[in-house]
Amino acid sequence: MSVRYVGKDIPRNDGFDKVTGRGVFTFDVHLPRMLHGKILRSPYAHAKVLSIDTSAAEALPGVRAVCTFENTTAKLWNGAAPMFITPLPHKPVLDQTIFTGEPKYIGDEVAGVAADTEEIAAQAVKLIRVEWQQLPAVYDPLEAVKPDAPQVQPRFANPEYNNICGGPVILTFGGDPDEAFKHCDEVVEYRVKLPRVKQAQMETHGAVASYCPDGRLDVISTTQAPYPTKMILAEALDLPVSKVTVRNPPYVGGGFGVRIGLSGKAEILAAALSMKCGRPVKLIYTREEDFTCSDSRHGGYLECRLGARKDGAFVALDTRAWLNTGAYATFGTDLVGVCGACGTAGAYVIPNFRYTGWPVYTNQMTAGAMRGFGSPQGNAVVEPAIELMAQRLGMDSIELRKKNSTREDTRNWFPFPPGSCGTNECLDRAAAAIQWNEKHGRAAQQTGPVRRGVGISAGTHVSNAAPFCVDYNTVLLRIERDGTLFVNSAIPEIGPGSTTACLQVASDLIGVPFQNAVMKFGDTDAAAFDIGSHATRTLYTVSYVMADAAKELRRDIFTWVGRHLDLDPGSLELDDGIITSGGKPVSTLAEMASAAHLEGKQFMASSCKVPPNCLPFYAQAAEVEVDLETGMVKVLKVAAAHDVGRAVNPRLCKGQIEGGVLQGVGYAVREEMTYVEGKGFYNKGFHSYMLPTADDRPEIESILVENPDPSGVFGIIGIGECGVNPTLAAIGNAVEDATGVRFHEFPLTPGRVLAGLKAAGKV
Amino acid sequence: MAQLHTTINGEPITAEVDPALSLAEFLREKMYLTGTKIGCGKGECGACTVILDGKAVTSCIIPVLRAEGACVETIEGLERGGRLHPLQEEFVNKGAVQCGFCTPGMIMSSKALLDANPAPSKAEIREALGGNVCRCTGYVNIEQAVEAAADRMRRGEG
Amino acid sequence: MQYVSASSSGEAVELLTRAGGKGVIMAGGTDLMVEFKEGKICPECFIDVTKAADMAGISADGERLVIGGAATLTQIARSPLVKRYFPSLAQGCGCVGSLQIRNSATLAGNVVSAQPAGDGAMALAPLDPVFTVCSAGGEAELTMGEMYAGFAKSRVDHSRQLVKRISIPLPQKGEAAAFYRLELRKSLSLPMLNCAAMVHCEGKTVTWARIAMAPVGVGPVRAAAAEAYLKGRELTEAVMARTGELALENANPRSNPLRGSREYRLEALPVIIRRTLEACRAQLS
Repeated sequence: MSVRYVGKDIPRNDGFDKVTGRGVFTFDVHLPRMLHGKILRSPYAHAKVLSIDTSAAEALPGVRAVCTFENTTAKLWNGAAPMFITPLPHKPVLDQTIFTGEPKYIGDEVAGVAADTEEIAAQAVKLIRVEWQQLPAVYDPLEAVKPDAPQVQPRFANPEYNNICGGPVILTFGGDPDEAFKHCDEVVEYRVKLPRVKQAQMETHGAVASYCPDGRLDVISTTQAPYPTKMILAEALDLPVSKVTVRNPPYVGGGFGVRIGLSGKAEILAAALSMKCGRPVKLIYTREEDFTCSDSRHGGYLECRLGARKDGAFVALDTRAWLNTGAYATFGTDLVGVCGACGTAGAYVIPNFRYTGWPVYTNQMTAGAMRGFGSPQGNAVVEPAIELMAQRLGMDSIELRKKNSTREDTRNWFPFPPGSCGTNECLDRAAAAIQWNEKHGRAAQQTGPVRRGVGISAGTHVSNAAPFCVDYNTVLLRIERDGTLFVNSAIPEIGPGSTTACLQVASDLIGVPFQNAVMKFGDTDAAAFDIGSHATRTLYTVSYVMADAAKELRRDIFTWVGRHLDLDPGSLELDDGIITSGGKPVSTLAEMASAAHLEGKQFMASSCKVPPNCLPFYAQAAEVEVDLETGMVKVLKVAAAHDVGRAVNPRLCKGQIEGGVLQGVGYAVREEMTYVEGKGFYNKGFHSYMLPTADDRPEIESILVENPDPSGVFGIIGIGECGVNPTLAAIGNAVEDATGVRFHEFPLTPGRVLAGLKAAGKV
Repeated sequence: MAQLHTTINGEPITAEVDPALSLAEFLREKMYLTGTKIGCGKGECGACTVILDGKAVTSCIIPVLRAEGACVETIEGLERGGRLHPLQEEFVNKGAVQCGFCTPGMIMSSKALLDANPAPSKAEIREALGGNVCRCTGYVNIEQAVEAAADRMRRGEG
Repeated sequence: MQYVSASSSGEAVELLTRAGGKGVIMAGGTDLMVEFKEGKICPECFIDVTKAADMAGISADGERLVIGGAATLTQIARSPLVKRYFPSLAQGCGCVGSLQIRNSATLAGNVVSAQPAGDGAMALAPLDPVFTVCSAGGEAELTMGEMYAGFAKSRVDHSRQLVKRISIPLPQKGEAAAFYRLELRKSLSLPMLNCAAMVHCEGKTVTWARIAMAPVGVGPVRAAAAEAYLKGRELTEAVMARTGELALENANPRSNPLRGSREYRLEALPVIIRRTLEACRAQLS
């Protein structure tokens, strides 16, 4: 077996569809008799519906269904994947219903209408008359945990605390940090306030739900987790799981975590309306609904203490986080855990480790999964502390990181070995690319209003969610009559090119040509369980399961071919579709598959397995320019070095890094969901949400470091989320390098920076 | 309702239209040209970019009747008999495509640029794409794809 | 709803009259279409002036630069005439929205939409433009200051009037103009602050200056105290810095959740005014 396709920049196989406009997205789906849905959302952050009158809406010509909290099930669920991937003995928090009579944030769903056109549905929503009683609300996590704060979810919050959702999450490893700090030569502290930011994927949430009165529900949607969505819908709507189908059509306009489970609530809202009238209902979120009524990244407060010996060896790390999970749980508890694990526990050797995370309910839009899933938040508090420690010890911060970085034999909080550890190489290569030695620590030599500085940050994540979540895959491999490969898997393709890279891996694993290999994906009817595209997992875990199935498939082929050609199956080899025996070509897979078919035999194999896991390590360095007079921070360059184990498709792999980095740049300097009390989030569209545009981006240099991981097929390590994780901290460190001021609140908008520079007496 | 006479991707079209429609709605809902996406409906993301008489416009805020007597180019018009436009090929080759939702608008903005300016500078490429939001790629490969396509087109390809 | 295309400004005025106040002039339509889709305006008729022959194009007649009411921001930003006489206007017009928006939107629309910090309108403000406004009653000429009736409110009633052209006196010897935009992002965003200035010097001494700033009030706000101070002085570092400080006397910015608090805007305004004047000085030397 030779490696022909892994490692090559093969153009993605959905490219033709996507550059010609042929590719179908949920937004493009149109079905016979299809209606359009619109939702009535709460204008209040916390209120009780005293009465609701839908008669005028129902009387409007063209209206086919009106659903409210009064005529739909009040069964409880959690719209995110944890509802069905939380391993025992933990229990997911089930705190959502389809509609509610007690809305808990501005935008909460109270009623919905399906009508012949979107315009009629929108008009009908306006005709629904509601009598509201406003209730007290709380918006800030530190306010919400106070004993006298209004209760956001009294039925579901942890009764021992105020407004704590499923937590607190406490992680410990090694000795007691409190005791250890007493014996440290140096202890530094850092605290930071982080914003909520939004995934802002290009295709808004959407679903077309078709309920057939004989009991089947077929949903086409923008979910990035078709199987969990199928399970949630079946449970919430009291349908047999077998009768619910969820599929992507097959393309999804981005995800970045916002739809690991229901996409917003599009599927269940459309399904409720469809079940009411027995016709397909299409519900597409407006951009404003997407921005203000679906999960964001968690913002909040973090603080940490880091202790070290004089020689730089880390002794203890203690971190506390209060993250704003909003009105409903979704991923709140899980994410706060990952913030501690990936964000604070994995990258360095820390003999005395503790993390305490508080997922806090507030009367704001829910926060949930977004690329990095807590890692960026943890990184944002630990990496500045390391920088402060380096200053205190008079060491170069890169040397300090390298001295403490996780090694292959490190045991830390994670219940599995870290795998291959490329942190130090990543640090060196990122530093070289940013010219660290020439540029770092030059604040004192600079004059004039514009200053430059460089900063660095390292970190880790995971390559899937096992064993913390129920995370497994199923694939079916089959050889068609002409020897071509067909792979069935329910994974979605939300953009990274997973379906191309998986086929590169499969072709090499089996020994067939890539050219005509095909994957059926994004559909619960395509294959058995798949958790979805999340946790940096798809390529790593699907490859793992495919490796098992490929072994079985080759055995199936060799057994039959051996018998058919009267050869020892043990002597057979398959490479790029050519079958050899003892090194001599004896046939082709095409010929054998065809012959087998005529005897009633198709070569196939399937596998269903829980993957191992490994930690992906990385370092990013940033160069910034700060205008001391206006507070404007401009990011000039980010050099991102990631240990990817083995790049299956280097171009696609770099694309993941570059996209993540730019999201991280936005997070660090521009992006922020700003809450205006009484009105909700100010950021209702791209015009009021400052994600980077093509003419406002830094140079991005993506560097692939390839230390093959022992657990990964062909040595691969996860990459998907990692690009975004260390960027904010690297930029914050660079701004300090430029200005001498350490900031404690992000993003570094001009107003915040100028105020900080003034407070520090720099201007 | 009003009559619209326009040319879409080289084909003359006559249609009865509601003047309240945007050009994007008309293309998608009446012409079934769903390659043109709508990401915001307010001209703030560029997903709906089409070329109207040689200029890139956000078709979600262009009144349909502005296409009267005009030439409209959409993403569907670029491929001819299975042959891709150099921009389309380079978007695939250079990894400028990820989720694909911004891609049609991105390619149409790029085509309008290259049609008028065969040798754009980096700054001109960035200006042309500044109104097309992409959240997947970091724009790095998109810029490279446009440069590569421009090179090829200058050499007489496409 | 009807949509008609006018072939001249005269025809557009006739169509407005016929619509009896229920028609609305549409040039680029980039703002109007959004308002229309959101149900904020519901005219019975849109009167498209983009094909009105006497409202097209950009020309210079020896005394003034004339910009048609239907000239797009892209046409202005790329016009050799505009770049030659008023590079700051080309720059400001090139900052609005995105290229796609500028390919449709007009400078006249940027003024009539009356957003306080429209970049095109701001760059235009210190150039002493005259707006030729047509209505059933005939043509009238309005100055920049007369175009704004209130916050986001134009004196031009688009259901009865239209801007046929904008005329700008050609620059004379000793004049220079500059535009500055303090921005969170280049494209698809309004500025945090913007500022435009035009100064005339004899030798090194400023004989007059016009400084406009936004968003610090209704439309482009003139920094009257700063302008008065500058007259008769040389553009030294100290004078330009002091001019920036004095601009605060006429500035009353609001806080915006995204584009800067009142406090920040008051801090940054003197800086960008100083930088704008520095740009003027650089052109003069």
